[in-house]
Amino acid sequence: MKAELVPGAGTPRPLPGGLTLLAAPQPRATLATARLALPSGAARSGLGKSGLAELAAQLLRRGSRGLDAKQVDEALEALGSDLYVGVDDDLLQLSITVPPGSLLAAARLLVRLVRFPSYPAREVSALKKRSLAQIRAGLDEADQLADRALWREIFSGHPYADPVDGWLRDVSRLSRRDLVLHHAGQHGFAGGCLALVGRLPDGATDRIARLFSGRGDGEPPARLPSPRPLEGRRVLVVDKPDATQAQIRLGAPGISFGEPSQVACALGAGLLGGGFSSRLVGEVRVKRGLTYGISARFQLRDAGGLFAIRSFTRVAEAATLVQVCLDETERLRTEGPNEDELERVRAYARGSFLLGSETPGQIAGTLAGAFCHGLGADWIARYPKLLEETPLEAVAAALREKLWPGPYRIVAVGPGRALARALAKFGDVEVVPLRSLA
Amino acid sequence: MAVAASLVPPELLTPVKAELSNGLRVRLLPDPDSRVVSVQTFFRVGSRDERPGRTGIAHLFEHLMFNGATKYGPKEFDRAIEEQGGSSNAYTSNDVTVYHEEAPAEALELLLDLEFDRMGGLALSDASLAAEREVVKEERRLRVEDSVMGLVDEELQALVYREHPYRWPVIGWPADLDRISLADCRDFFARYYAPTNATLVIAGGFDPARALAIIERDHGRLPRGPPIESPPNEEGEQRGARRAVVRHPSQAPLLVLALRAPAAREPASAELDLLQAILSFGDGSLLVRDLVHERGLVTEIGVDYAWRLGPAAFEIVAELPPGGDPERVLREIWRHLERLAEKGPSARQLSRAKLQSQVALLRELSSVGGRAHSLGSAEILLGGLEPAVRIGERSERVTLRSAREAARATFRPERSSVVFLEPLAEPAE
Repeated sequence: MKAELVPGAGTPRPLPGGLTLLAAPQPRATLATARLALPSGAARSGLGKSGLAELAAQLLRRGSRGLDAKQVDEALEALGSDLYVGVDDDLLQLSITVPPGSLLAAARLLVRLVRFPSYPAREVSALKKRSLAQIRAGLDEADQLADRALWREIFSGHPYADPVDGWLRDVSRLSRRDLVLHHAGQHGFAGGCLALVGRLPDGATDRIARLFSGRGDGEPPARLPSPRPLEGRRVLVVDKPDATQAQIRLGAPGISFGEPSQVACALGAGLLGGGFSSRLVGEVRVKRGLTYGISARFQLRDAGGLFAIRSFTRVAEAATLVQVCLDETERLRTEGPNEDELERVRAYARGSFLLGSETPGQIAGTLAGAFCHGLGADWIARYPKLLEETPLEAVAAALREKLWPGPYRIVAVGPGRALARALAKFGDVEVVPLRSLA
Repeated sequence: MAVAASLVPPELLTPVKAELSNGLRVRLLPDPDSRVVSVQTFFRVGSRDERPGRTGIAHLFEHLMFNGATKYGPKEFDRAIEEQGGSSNAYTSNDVTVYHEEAPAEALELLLDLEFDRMGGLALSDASLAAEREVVKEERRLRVEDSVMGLVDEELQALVYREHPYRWPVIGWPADLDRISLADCRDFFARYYAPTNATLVIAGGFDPARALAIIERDHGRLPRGPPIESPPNEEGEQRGARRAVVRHPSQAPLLVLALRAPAAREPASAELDLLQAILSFGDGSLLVRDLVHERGLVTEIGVDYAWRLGPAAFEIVAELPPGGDPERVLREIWRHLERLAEKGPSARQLSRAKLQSQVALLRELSSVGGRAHSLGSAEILLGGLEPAVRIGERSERVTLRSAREAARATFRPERSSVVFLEPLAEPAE
């Protein structure tokens, strides 16, 4: 295998104003990507203002100083590309992939949109209405509801309990003033990262560096508090009477980015439910035909995280599926993996990382995300080595400690009465109406 | 526009082509700089090749292809690939079934061996059929019975098509899934999974001469398949608008408008690709700007003109807010379509759509999986047009006049079908 995954990547260049530039030129690429990541995710929305970070982010492209929404759309069309704007709990990310000759123009537009949004009242009102409608429509999507319910259960009292798109009651109260204040306080460049990857024209990196320099944004935001410990074992049933299937989640507190056991946990979860040859796929899908899909993984955040198993099955088999998941998890936690299966998972993780680092967009995503989550500018080079160097004992220890030895939650979305009866043996059951998740 | 074509090194777009004596078509796109490979086998079989009473067999059979063969037993297919750091999957459409594996380049020989093994000696048993039947039923519950969009789409296809096999769902009718027997599966395999009915595409970091030698050595031993009778491919003239309503406990209304459209190989399909972009690619497109951003009548709107071997459909999907007025939205969509049919797109709209389409294609070609899929799909659905030609010529030859003519021929109310989703639930407050 060739030595370096992305030659030249990982040399950080701090810019005046607090942003760090990571450039990875790929002379044979056909396109170039500029990706900006800022530590201003949904968890920074503030108490009772869930959905604010998402709304503020999506409105960045609906008007900027001297450009109305239509002009922004036209500018993007002229580049032949679209602007990705995404918010998760920790980060705001914007990304654009264009032919190399348009990279500078794309970067100019990007910096203008992020620095000088105008939040036109008409656009604010329109997007807010649309967001509220989409939250309501989301009640039709059982898989999304199950995730929403699980995060609320595990992170009760912490900003991570709020969904990125917010709760209806919060979003309906958001004002233009909230958006302007959020932008002023949260869209600073300090602690952020700009990744430029692909065929970078001569001189473009320096010119783009100047565009993104010079804004005095002070210090990066303070670290969020840790979530409070979870207690007890509980089953939450979200009543969706018309569903033929139960969407099921089993979850418990997990780990945050950068914890020493991060790679060991990733390998352990991969072994349980990370690929088609994982234990859960074998037991639940192949052996019993209970589901079309099942996965297990640690979902990392800056101030915490969760471990979750996600699956679905016909309502009558919900308890069987849960029991198999609990048994397999416990078996792995107590008996640990063997060297052969760990080697297989290690190879799978290594290959998946390679396959996920193919295009400029993918590489820019990894570089910018890893940097902002504190994993370092060289994560893309270090991760494959860490996979190799994590021994069996470390994976076994991580699984013993992190694979929910204690409290956990089970969430099921489907017909309430039938699921409550079926899942009662796993803990106290609470049945809640669908609209409690809006 | 030639800018886009000039960005891709020509050798990445010019496949090494071979046809084995047993009829297997091989297409190789080596890229010495790549560390990964993609192996994709395209079988010219989809739900259109099924018959009533056995709908869903093409897709169910796709599941059975992962359950063991002569050399690699049950559960070994995915295990062997994942041990080498790769992954595999497959999909079935109305026209084609595609198996794809992506892995570090060193795994190429293994991938070819696995594909040869299951093409040459797939193990079929009552037990594996029974298990996969249950898995497919779960997939059907997920994608259709518990999915608003799935329910509407199933209704739509049955409305648009009366004669053509496109009228039944790829995943099959539930009762048909129960009827499919082991004998049906054996017959299906013998008929459709022969080299004569397949194209093997490889893209990525590999030596084409060595790959071809392995393929000739192994796949070359497979027997030719029987001649395959083409399925019915006709759909009679539509003489009036069709409508259907699906009532379901959903939160918000939704509508899908489908217009009868030419097959992918017919000349106007390039024009419809661009009309699709003009109508719905990006916030500045006609429908998105007007109906989402300007007037807030819909929360999402998209256009899908999927390439088909047979009579296709140009579909517009509009998601409305709770309490939204679908009849009004339909009128507004027609206003845009009629305007395009009458006046055609502007020069600026057409030129932007060409640029957008070409950049989108460049993005697809930037991964080896995308490159292999682009080549295989173009060959089977468009009839041999290769990526280089697509970048350089397919959209470039579309003129204002030809775009207007395609709009005029397609955007006709008497050739439309509409399905409305009518919510039964009270919207959340």
